[in-house]
Amino acid sequence: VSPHDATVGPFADRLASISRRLRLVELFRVVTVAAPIGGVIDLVLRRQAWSSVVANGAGIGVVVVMVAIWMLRIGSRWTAAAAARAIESTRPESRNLVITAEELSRYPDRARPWIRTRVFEQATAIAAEALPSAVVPLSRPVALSAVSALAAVILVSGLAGRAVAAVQQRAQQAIGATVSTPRPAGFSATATITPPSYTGEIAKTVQNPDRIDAVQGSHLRLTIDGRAAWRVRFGADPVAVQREGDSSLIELPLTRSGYLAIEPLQSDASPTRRRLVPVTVAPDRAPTIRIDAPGKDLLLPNAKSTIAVAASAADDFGLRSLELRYTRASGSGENFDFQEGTIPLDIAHESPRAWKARAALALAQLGMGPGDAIIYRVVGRDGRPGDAGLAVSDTFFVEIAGPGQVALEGFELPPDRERYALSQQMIVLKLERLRAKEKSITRAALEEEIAGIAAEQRAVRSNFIFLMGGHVEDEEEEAEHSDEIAEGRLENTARKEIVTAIQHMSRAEVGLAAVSTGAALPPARSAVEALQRAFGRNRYFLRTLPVRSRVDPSRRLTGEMKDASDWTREIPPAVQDSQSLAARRLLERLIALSPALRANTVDPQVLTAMAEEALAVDPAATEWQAISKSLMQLRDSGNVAAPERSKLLANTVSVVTLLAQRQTLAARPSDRANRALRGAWAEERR
Amino acid sequence: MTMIAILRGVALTVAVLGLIDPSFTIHRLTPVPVEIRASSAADATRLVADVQQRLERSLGDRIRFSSAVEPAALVLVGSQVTPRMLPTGDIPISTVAPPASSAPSVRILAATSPSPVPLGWTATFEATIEASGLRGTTSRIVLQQGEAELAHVDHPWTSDRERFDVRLSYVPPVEGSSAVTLRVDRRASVDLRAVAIGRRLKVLVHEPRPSWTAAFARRALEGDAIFEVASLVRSSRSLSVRGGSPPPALTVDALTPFDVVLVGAPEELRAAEVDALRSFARRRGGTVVLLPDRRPSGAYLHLMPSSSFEEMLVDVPADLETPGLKTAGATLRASELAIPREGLRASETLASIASSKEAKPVVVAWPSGIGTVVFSGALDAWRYRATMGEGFGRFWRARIAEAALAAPPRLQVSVRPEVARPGEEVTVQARLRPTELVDAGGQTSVPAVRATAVGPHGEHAIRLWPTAEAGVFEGRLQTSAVGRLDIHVAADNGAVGDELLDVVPDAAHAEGAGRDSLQLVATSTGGVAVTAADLTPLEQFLGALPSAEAAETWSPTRSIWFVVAFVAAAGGEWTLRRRRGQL
Repeated sequence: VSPHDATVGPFADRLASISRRLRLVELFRVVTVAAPIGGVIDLVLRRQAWSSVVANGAGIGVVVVMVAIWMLRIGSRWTAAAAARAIESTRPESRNLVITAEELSRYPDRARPWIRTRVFEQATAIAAEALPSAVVPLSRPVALSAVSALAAVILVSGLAGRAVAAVQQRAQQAIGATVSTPRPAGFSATATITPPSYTGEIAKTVQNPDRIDAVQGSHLRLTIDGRAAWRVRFGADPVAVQREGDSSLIELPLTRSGYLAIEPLQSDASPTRRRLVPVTVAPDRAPTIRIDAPGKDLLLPNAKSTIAVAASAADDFGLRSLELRYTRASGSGENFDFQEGTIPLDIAHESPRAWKARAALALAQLGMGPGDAIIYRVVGRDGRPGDAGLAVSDTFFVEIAGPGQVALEGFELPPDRERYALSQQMIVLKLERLRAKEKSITRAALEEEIAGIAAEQRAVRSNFIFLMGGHVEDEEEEAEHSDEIAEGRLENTARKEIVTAIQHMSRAEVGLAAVSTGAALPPARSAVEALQRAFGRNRYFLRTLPVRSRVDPSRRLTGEMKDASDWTREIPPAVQDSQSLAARRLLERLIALSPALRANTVDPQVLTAMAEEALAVDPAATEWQAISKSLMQLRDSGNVAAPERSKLLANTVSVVTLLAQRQTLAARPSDRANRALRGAWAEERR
Repeated sequence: MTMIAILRGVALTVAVLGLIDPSFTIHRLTPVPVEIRASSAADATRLVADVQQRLERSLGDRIRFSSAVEPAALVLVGSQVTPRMLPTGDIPISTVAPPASSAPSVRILAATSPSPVPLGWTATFEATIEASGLRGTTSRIVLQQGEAELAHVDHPWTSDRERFDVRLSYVPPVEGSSAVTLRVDRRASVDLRAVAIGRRLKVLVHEPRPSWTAAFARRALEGDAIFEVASLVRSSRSLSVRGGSPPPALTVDALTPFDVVLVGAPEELRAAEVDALRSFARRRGGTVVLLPDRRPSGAYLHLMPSSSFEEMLVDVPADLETPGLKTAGATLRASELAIPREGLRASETLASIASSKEAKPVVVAWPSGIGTVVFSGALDAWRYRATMGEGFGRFWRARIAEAALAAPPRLQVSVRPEVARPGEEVTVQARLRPTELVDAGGQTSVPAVRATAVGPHGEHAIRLWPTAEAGVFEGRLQTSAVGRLDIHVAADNGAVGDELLDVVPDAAHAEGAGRDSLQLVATSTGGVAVTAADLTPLEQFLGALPSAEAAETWSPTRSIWFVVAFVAAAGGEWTLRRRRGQL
């Protein structure tokens, strides 16, 4: 454009003015976006324990970079052409005249001078009417950027965090929960718990942990931020603290439950900076293995069958192996031969923690013969090295009936004495068979067969009488008073059942003597039922006897009567429940401190010591952890209003009281004053 | 002439009647004498005057208020009544309570301090609270010591006038007496006391033959430090196993040091041993716990009002209903039961088994003299001792501890109230155990007792007076300064007893069930209980009282009016004659 074009100057000035405003709009837009991002970055960095200077610098830097990039990349948005388009958008009646003028100002040779002059004149007139504030309004971008900047300031200043805390506090008050107390200032720690490798669990990182839960054998790495020096104890044991840059570091293998006491080394440090972190170490449980089938002892007539064994196993972290082990016992008398072996299992992995397994005990292949027995169990282990993770199922027997031994197919193997029940059962079987065929045989044959069964019945009855210790003179009398033997009620009941069985056997003998299977069969069956009841109970009772209570039959009748004398039993001192005792002591101190606690004049060190004592009672118990936490909250409640502190105290007393009264029952009110009157009245009523 | 004759006749008639002097007996009703007075000093006399005025207005001369003559009825006006206010005579007493206030209020009608508990046990405070006009609101009932809230209950009030029985539990952490306050919001409070005792409870376990039931009960007691257990098990005719220091034989004197005696296999007891146990319960105040393991028989049945038992054998062990045990997560379980059939009215059921009709008592306590006899029909409960929260051991520990705590000492001292204000009058009671009284020759000798109050400001004697019950003395003590007083009582025979009295400023007491006591007094004496807002029932009652009938002899001729009549008739007759000129 020729400088002689007098109209170009005002038009260009107006375009420049609008262009500046367009630049400002873009600036405000980028600030609107970048300021909150910078604020968030500042907040995150400070939460990650970065210093405020670094965090602020990073936040501001991010904002500056974003603004710079934005402004550099979109410079085309505030050119003269953009300004002309802006004017056209507000003044559509110009019909692209302003755009044409702007284009001619850049390419003057595209039109003749007089046309150019005329275009510029008209465009200048239109541009003069289009006020920059109307073409590019700034109020909205300015307002948005101001709001955005304010949000960033709120984030950076921590006002948001305080507001959230206030809302949380009000919510907790509304639902009656414990009052939250501010976290001790100047303390930031990160705990990384790495479980044992065999568990396959990943490491867990906790920021400022209230408590640490870990599997036995885990490794703890605790980083305490800041230049301050700390002393750390695990219970009473000091833990080495290493410096690593601006932070302190402790490394600790977790083998037992306890607590970390973290105390500042500076003597002038605030007592409220002391921290107690309970550490609960859960042991890795051994696998649980169960034989689901057959799940009982078996007595088999021969070794032809194959026993299907089904087992299930579970572990808290995962199983490593599972196998079926057996011991084969063969021989008789004193010449027993034992042979051990393993049978592979067909394992179905339901999950790494739950397996199901199957196996077949082919008795013939195992070389079992009449009278042999096999004892089997399922053995498994989890991922722990050594035998720590070894577990064994219940042991079961399979016995092959020996010569002369009666066995029903798959009948549960009875203990020795229960075999007498089988003898009686055999008599019942013989009677049933005889009764079925008695109409088809002669009277003489019937009498002969009955005589044989009667002899067997007498023999069985004699065995039981012998088992009872001698001849039963009066069976009715014996049954009536069978509970007089002081061997325990269950034993007595078993004895009573045996006596009842003997009675039934006697009635069966009477029936047999009368050559009547109909009269003999019912009492014979009743005898079997009584014996099964007796030995079933007795067996149960004997199996639950602890080892130290088992009777040593070899010592029977070996003492001298004259050596029997009175005995004075030593009564062991009663063991007090240490946790109740500790809770009562704590309660006593809390009550004594209560006026000072309400007045907020208690030395924080006293409460810290009480909290540590509470945690030391049982660091793994959630109750004691709760008490310790309550006491620490009380300690840190210096800035809390008195009513709120009273609530904290009440909560603490409540949890302590719960522990103090465990194992006890409430004594019912005693009507001591009226006892004499009630007694006299009762006497009168007699 | 006629008028003159008439007047003369009248005069002559009156004169003749005067000479005859006839008399008549008249029966008339007299006003009923009624006394009215305020029932307590706190009640203003204005209310008394108001009630009197309203009664006089409605009943007129049918009643006469007077305190000079012996009243036929008494009207007590006020909110409370105490025995001292009641007259000795047998007259109906009506009560007039002040009109109920419409303002919201809470009153603690009754609150009792729990009996002393062993250290570490839970003491339960009970109170009855009445609220008026608080419907829809919730009160926080707090038990506190110092500034520490020990326990609390939030109770929503659902009616305009409601009573609520509250139970708050607390474990006294230290041995001795602790003053606590039961507070309802900030509207009402009462000062109470919790006492934890450190003494060990002495229990004798006697087994004439080895008994599983007694053995496991004994083991449960031996495992608890609050019990001092002595045991004797006769394992054979000439052999016995002893634990602790049991007496060589069950005699009255040998049993006196013990609080509770457990007997296993009681059917083996001899008659003399049963007599000693009976005396132990009746006079010593101890508790005899009978733990059979078979059908009850033998001499020990004489200790109980029931000698007839229903035997029950259940297939599946039954969980017995035991108050307080289930809340602790434990259950007493048994499958062989002996259930007493008689004497259950005077009994207390400690454990029962549910049946289709009603619960059947299995473990039962009967009062015997000042003591108790406990019978356990759970014959095989020991078998389930390891199940259900160790219910067997916990049940017997709890019940035997209660029984031992209830066994009176040689000399028992009590004060009411236990927490008093300075200047308040406190009642001191000393009770000698019957074993301390000497019966000889039909006379009972009671040893003399002396009481003193030992406090921070010195020692003061308390005058004790014998009461109607032998061995029981009462006295009154006026508290002076704040502090703790030791009320020490000593008897001539060496028995001593102590009780602590806390004197604290502004000690608050339960208001007492004032309305109940007013109703009780009125009902028991034949009167009525009303409120000042509506005296109609009282008016009807007083109006229906029989008036006294007075027999009066009326001699009309002795009346002055009779003389006046004679003079008038005679004077008229004379005047008429003079006017007519007749002389």
